[in-house]
Amino acid sequence: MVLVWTLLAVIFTAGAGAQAAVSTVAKPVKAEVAEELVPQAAPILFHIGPLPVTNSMVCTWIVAALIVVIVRFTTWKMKEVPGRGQNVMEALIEGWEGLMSNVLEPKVLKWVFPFAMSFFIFIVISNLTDLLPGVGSIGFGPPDKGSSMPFAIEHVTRPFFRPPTTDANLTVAMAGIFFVMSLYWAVKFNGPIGLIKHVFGVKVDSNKWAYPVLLLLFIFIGVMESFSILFIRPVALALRLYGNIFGGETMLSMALSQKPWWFAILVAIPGYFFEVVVCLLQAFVFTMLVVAFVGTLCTHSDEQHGH
Amino acid sequence: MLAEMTGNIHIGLAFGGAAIGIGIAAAGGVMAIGRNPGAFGKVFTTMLIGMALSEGLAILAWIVIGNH
Repeated sequence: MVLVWTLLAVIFTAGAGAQAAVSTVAKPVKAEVAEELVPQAAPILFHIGPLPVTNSMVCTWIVAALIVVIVRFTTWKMKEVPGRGQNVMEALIEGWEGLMSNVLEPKVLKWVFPFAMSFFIFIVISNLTDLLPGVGSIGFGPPDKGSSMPFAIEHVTRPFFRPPTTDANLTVAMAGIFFVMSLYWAVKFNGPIGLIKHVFGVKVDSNKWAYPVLLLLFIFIGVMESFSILFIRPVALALRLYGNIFGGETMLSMALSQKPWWFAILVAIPGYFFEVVVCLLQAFVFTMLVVAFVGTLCTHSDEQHGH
Repeated sequence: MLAEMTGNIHIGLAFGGAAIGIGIAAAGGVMAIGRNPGAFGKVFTTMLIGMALSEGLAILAWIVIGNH
């Protein structure tokens, strides 16, 4: 139950935060690459009041609804001997719990697990929409005058659907949620003073003569580490996912727009297999990095000496 | 040929460096898992963090110099 609510919270915050970051991140590129296949900024489909709705937002809502329906449907009547749907969900959850318990302490795991798990399920489904036929290829465009068909267009400029993770706004919003929550957990499990000790403190055994030198060294390391925690980690997390899936979408569009049709198919088929792997792997990497980053913030080094 | 190269060479260099780093991390991880398969979880996590850090630098370079 906690899982489902966290899922909902993450998805809707991500959707709402999606539009806010448009001007900062998804900057339209310069004129030299005017003929781009997939624009960096998601095109706006329609407006609800003052809120513009882009095609990636529409796709986000569909993915969210799909996840809620699937999760509720497979876990509607929980049985002692699981059926097919329940079995899949249980295998997923238990596999991830085993992976995460390597990195996190049990009390941290209890908080982080539903959070990271909802990231994983949401990212996997939204990455895999990348591969569906019709996503990114059906939509509005300039009308084709020469054609005799009623609604003929030259090429699609504003598709109805766009994979949610090819929009930098969504990944930035998710990384923002991770950033806030990781700092909250770091303070919660270390205490404010414990956190400063954890980042800047001396982490090796030393005698009292070497201590001042080591303290200076570890303060420098702490400065670098806090730069990494405050800036590099969330930015890289957001842009890695966005870059991989956006690059994949661009690559597939490029392959499918090659001129003789058989050559396009020849180029695109290995691309599709590659993209299946990339989609699953990037979701895994995002989740694992969230877990590992929280783990490095919340696990005490003196407890590591124990075992 | 060199004189004709324009555009985002610097980003290419940054990502090339990151690719080398990721390759080294993956090679080390595979070797470690091969020698001690029981430590898969720990080795894999550490490997992923190392990859993320080296990739993070490339992304940083992309942000800093790519948009100018």
